[in-house]
Amino acid sequence: MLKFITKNILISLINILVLISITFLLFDILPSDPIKVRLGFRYNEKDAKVLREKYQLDKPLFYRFLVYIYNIFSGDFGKSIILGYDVLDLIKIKAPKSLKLILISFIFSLPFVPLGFILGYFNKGIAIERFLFFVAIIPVFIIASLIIFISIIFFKVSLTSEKLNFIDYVIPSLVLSIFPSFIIFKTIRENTQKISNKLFITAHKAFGFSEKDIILKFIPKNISTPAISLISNLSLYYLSTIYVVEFAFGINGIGELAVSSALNYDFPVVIGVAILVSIIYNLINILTKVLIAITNKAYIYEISKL
Amino acid sequence: MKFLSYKILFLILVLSILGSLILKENSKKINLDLKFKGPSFEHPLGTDELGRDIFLRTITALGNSSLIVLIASFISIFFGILIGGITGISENKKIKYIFENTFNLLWALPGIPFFVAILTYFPRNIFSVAIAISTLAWIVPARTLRFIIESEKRKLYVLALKSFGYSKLDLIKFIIYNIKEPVILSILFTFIDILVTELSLSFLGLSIQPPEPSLGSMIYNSINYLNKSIFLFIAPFGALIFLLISLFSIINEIQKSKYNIFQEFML
Repeated sequence: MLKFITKNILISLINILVLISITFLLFDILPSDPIKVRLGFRYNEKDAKVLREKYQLDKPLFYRFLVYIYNIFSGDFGKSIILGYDVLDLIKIKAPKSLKLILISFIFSLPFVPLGFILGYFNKGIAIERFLFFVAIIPVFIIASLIIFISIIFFKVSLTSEKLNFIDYVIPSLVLSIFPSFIIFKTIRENTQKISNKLFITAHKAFGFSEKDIILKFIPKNISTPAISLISNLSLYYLSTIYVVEFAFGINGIGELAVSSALNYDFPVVIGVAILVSIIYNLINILTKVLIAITNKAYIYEISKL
Repeated sequence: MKFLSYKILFLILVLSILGSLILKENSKKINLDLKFKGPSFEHPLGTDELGRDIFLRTITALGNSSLIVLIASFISIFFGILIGGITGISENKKIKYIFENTFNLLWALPGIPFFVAILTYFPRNIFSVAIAISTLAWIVPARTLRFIIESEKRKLYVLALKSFGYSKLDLIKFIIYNIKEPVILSILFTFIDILVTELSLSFLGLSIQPPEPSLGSMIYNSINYLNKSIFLFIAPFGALIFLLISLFSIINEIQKSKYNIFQEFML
């Protein structure tokens, strides 16, 4: 178990390091000069030299790379070029709004767990699954812009204004919850159906176990692995899609921060958010794997065989 | 008619590229006297906030998107099939180990944050957007192809051919003949993936930059002017619906076939 956990932590460390080095090298290799972008039309050699020394851009590549990695692991993501604040401070201010959005949308898609379970147990629900599939594969920004269009034209309400109350978050989080709902419904329904048609359930019924025992004990134990691995898949979806949803509905979360900084060529903020997102995703991934390993004893063995 | 929807979508994309090449200069003409004009004979869908023709802009935007999608899918399908084929066919353990870990590593990167980070550096023209998208998109065909070849290699007919004394090259020929259909399906899936990514990026304003129009940014900007002219929204949205319907039919075809490659991607 300990070996399993350390191996996974090592893999995600490599993952994060690769991402950091890709972004760092891009920053360096590409011809676009951040100092030129920053100074704009006021560019002159004297100011540029001062700024280069200030951001340590005159030091050799490898030295800067080590400093960069050290800074990131000590929690220093640099300063925003345009806004002038620390990137981590900016993220700290914006993160609660994104978290609120994700949590509310996750609560919206939770009812699909029991729904999928019940329909799967009775071998039903294929029509619902197909319908959900065709709603879920529509790209998020199309649904979002259509809802904004309808709200302005027919109800004279602007959904893109500042979000203050809980109610303002309902529609964005509903949009964000469409695809996760489908994935949750499909996974739970399919696995429940598969397990409940297996012979050992019939045998347990014949041995006189009550239906309550079968529904509450045996089936949940057997669908726990795919159900838990949903957490990691869904978190990847959420972390990607908040960029689009926040930008569409004007929520000042980390996604909107990253996109607006990217539009203004504010490199440190974009990179900081991307690295943070990647670190969060890797942590969730490790957590998911540990949870599966705890609930399913065969998992570590199966993984090692692959 | 197999893969009919695929051919229709391809036709739409090629026609829109041709249209955009012809109409490119006209779609940029600014005329402030014609701001927010309604539909007329000269301007079938009216004009926008700078007096540019919305109809021409929509076609040009569709063409730009199609060009990006075609270039990106060409790059990623080429590299995907090359790398996936090598990892599937080769028996070398080192090659397999390296590529498998690369697949898993790139698979775990969150898509849009990565593209946003890359496109902050690039100049955001057609080629750089296409290259940025294909950095992650090639994994889909590569993974599928590796999976298909590995499962095909274990089948009985390959063992029989081996025992008949066929050479390795002949075996590869037979395998290629047998995996045609799932490979085409995975290519279609890559195509859809790239199209949706490009449209999302252009909605965020990170695809091709103004004065060149792009569908997503046209939709995003139209929301500010909805009280002046609803055609600003409806025209690019209609083009999107056009694309979506053909996407739906492609996905339907993939689902109907016996190789359901969606299972590889948790759909």
